[in-house]
Amino acid sequence: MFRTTLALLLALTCSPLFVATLPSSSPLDYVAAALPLPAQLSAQTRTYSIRGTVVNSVTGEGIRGALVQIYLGHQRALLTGPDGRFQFDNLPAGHTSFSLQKPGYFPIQQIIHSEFQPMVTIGPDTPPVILKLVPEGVIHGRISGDGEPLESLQVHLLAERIESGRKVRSEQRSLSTNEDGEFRFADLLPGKYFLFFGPSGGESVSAGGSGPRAQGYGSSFYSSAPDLTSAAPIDLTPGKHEELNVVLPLQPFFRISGTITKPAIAQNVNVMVLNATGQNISRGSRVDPVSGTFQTQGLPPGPYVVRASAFDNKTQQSFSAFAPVNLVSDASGLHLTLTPDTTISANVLVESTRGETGGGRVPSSVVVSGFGDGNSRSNAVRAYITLIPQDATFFRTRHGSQPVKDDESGSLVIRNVPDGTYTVEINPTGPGYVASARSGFTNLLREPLTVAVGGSVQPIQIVLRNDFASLEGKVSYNAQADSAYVLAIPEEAPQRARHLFTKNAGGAYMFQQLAPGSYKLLALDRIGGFEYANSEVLRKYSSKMRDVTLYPNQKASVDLEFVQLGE
Amino acid sequence: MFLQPLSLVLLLFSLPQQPPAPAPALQFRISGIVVNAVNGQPISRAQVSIGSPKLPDSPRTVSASDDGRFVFENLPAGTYQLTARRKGYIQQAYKQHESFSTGIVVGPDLNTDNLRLELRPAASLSGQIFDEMNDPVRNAQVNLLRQGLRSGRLATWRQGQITTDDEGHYHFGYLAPGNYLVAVSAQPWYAQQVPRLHTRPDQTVSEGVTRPDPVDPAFDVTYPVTFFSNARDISGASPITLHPGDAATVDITLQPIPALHLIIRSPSPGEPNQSERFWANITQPLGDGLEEHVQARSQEIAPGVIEVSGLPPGRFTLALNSSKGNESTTRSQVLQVIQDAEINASEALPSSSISGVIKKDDGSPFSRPTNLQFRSSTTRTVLVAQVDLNGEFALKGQNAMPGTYEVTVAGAVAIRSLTADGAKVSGHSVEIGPGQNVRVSVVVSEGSGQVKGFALKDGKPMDGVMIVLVPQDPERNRELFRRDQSDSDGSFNLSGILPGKYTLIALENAWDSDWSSPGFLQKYLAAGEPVQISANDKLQFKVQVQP
Repeated sequence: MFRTTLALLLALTCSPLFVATLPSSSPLDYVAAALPLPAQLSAQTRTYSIRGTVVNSVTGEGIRGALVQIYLGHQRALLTGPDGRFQFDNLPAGHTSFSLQKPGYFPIQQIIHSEFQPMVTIGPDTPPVILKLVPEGVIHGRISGDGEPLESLQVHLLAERIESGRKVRSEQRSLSTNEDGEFRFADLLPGKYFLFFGPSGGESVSAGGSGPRAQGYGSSFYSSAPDLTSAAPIDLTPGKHEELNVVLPLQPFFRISGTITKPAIAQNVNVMVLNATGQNISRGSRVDPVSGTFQTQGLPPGPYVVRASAFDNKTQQSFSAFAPVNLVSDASGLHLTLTPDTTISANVLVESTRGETGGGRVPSSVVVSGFGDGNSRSNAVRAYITLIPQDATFFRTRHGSQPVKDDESGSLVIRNVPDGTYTVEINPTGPGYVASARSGFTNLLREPLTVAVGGSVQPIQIVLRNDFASLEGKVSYNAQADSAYVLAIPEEAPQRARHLFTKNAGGAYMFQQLAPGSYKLLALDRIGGFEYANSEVLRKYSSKMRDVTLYPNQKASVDLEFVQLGE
Repeated sequence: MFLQPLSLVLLLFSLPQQPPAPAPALQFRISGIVVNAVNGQPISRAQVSIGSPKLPDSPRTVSASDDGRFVFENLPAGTYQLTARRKGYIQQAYKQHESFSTGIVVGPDLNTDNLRLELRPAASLSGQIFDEMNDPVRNAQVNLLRQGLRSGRLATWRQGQITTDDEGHYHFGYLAPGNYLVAVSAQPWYAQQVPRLHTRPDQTVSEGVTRPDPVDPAFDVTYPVTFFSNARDISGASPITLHPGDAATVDITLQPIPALHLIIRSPSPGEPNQSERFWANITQPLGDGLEEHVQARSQEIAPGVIEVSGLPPGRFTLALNSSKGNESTTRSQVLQVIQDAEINASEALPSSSISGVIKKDDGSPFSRPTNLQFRSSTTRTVLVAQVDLNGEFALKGQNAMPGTYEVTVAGAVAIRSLTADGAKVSGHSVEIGPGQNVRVSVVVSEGSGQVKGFALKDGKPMDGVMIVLVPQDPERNRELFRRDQSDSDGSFNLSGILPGKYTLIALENAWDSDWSSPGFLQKYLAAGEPVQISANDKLQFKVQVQP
């Protein structure tokens, strides 16, 4: 079975034809030329080799049949031999990084979220290289109940990740168990995971007297936890195959019934039952269109939110109603009154000071219709607004803004927002930053937006400005590093941090456009997985952190000391 | 006489709010035992359901006892559909054959106790896909094809499609006994499927073409579609026969072969237009009109020039799409690729779009939701058009290659006449030329006749019998056939029958036969009942069951 691999290697070494006919016009040539060549004189005539081994980062064993690619004028590829060894011959002198691939393994860069690729210099006496691949993690197992494997049960895999400097837990994948109750998630990066199961559909059983009763399997986090805070995290180290066998208790199922009162124009009334994760677990609740009575099918006991909704096609108005239900027995007589969802209007005002005095500070701002050159169309969408519900659920609905038709002033509208508390996210479409965002007295950059039942919300007023400041400086490296991530964390909104990657520039960095305000600055080996929006985490690096306050149109300069976060 | 939806989901008959009706006499019951169809042993704890429009809480479900027994009491008179499901068995209705089953007729003087509801143990087919290094292949597409009788004819159809997991595993469960084929398509994970633009020494690369890096031929490889065991097309495939309860294992090892490259030039050369988009879609016939999308990569290497990489040799259907603003055209071509090739898309024939209207024979639009099928006599591909409530239809997102198509309408209707603007029609076939907008008018007759009756053997009613209403000249009038299965009291009901002459037959042992073929029918027609039916006729027959 190794014969093919050898044949591939042979075929590769026997095809120097491509090398000879290659036009050298790759942009990477310039990078290579800018670096000192180890054997500049003989670069045209002499060729070199590089040997190496691809190993499993956990076991240290060689990996057979891994794809190794290098770039020296053009791309070359080979598969490693049985012991993970490889050798490229007939190479010109130069510098290359190695790209590795093998199903079931990750390149290290993907693990530490870094673009940094170590370069190897090819020339005489190039020592052999050892290249590591990180083995994937696998979470698998079997779910059973009442002595039998549970088939077609939903399994959700949640992962804890650092996004925008914060720890977030979000759904990665989901599947249904197979005939034997088995589930399997492969190709997993190391990290912290959670599992959420169920619920099953209700099975009817004869109970005598009152007729058939439903029973089934409820939903829970691993292991037997009702919510994420009490769920057991699964710590997946590289290469770990975690096997989890779960037995779920058979539970009686209960129905929820009641009536829905609706305005005459509301149609297509729909009832959903949302569990602790925000997932609708009610399949096929029936609502009588005339009387408004409804009944769900059997559901496992637990806390739920019953959500009724309806829609009027003519006015495009939606209606909703919520009611919490703690289901411990059949729940009847629930009454829900549909109220119209709220439509929120928003206005985006653009203030510009740039270009008026050639970049200097301008005491008073001048309001123009758009950014920059004055050719901007006034009716262009200047920002997108998204409302994100502030609850602990994963399966949540976001509400996005739409432009108001035939309105030239750039007005936006967010339609049909049910009552609740929302984080407001604003993304300018052009080169501008959000200088302020308010709804009445609420500062939306710091506070959430609350939408009351059937209530109205003060219009959202957004001011965008483009009087960015710029920031430049120099990173002083330690002995190993020659590249860095520079991170600028706004003090008021750490989740809106900006970063750049500097390399081959002697540590020089420059942010062309930063919104005015106070920042904390760090130069790091990586930013992926770094929980910089957590002040506790950030405090550890306070000795090398620099503070800067930027004013509109200011050009600031701050030098930074390199920080090695490690793994 | 229950015709069930293919998914075998029980119909929900009742709504919570029923109009108050006089309380029916709830004096009847259905009872029986669920058994294994192969060994006759009772099956414990199956979920047994009955459904009927007469039952207020339909469907009613109970769990059978440990010795397989079930009972439903206090039932109003009526006809019930009885089904059972249990892990490890195929969900089945009482005496189910294809989509038919025997309804349980409950009423005075009818014995509906001690029914034997047989469930067939489900078979499964699983296995692993390996590559030439003996490593498992992830994300391979595994196709499961079934060969057998469908509507009384031998056919091959796709039973399922699955993607292998990280261990190269696939698994198809809940399979009925029968003959199956397995076909795998995948790409080597290490393959470098990048363009390698072909230029002969006397040819110069046109301006603006970026010359790609050369790819080592050892990495310019692909896997051909591989049928078990180790065949490249359906004719060489080995069928796998599954018996009830079988758990078959089929492993397949893929071998890479040099990939072929195709250069395709846009039909409108000259001025490369930025707003023009041009792309190719390639499918490969698995056989019998089944098309599999080919996982080849196509990339625009210059304005209006596409290179397709990673193609195995074989026969393909190439659809070339180009769009300019709101206009889009598709050209298609069937190709036999044995080596790298260059194709000028303008030589491919532009596809035609087909739209039209269905009317009833009284001139009114056909307003039932249905679909129209166009079966190509050359490629055997079937294009399906949904008919809207005004009887209008159009092949959306599908373009018809030039050729002859046989038109059929789903549902209990017959095509009375077929006419077309921009195409030639003969019988129920329409001949589509290249690049045309063909408008088809179809006039259909809805059957309104009804034939009810009882199947009798030795003077006694017999259930589970296949009742066939055979039209004259059956080979040319397949849509005129009507079928049913007799219920527990021997009754049957055929409806939607078109006016004409028929022969009514009742067959005891014909479920697994090619019942619609003239050769088969010949043996039974003489002893059948001749039936002449006109519009809105409701006829009653007693028909003798033939062994």
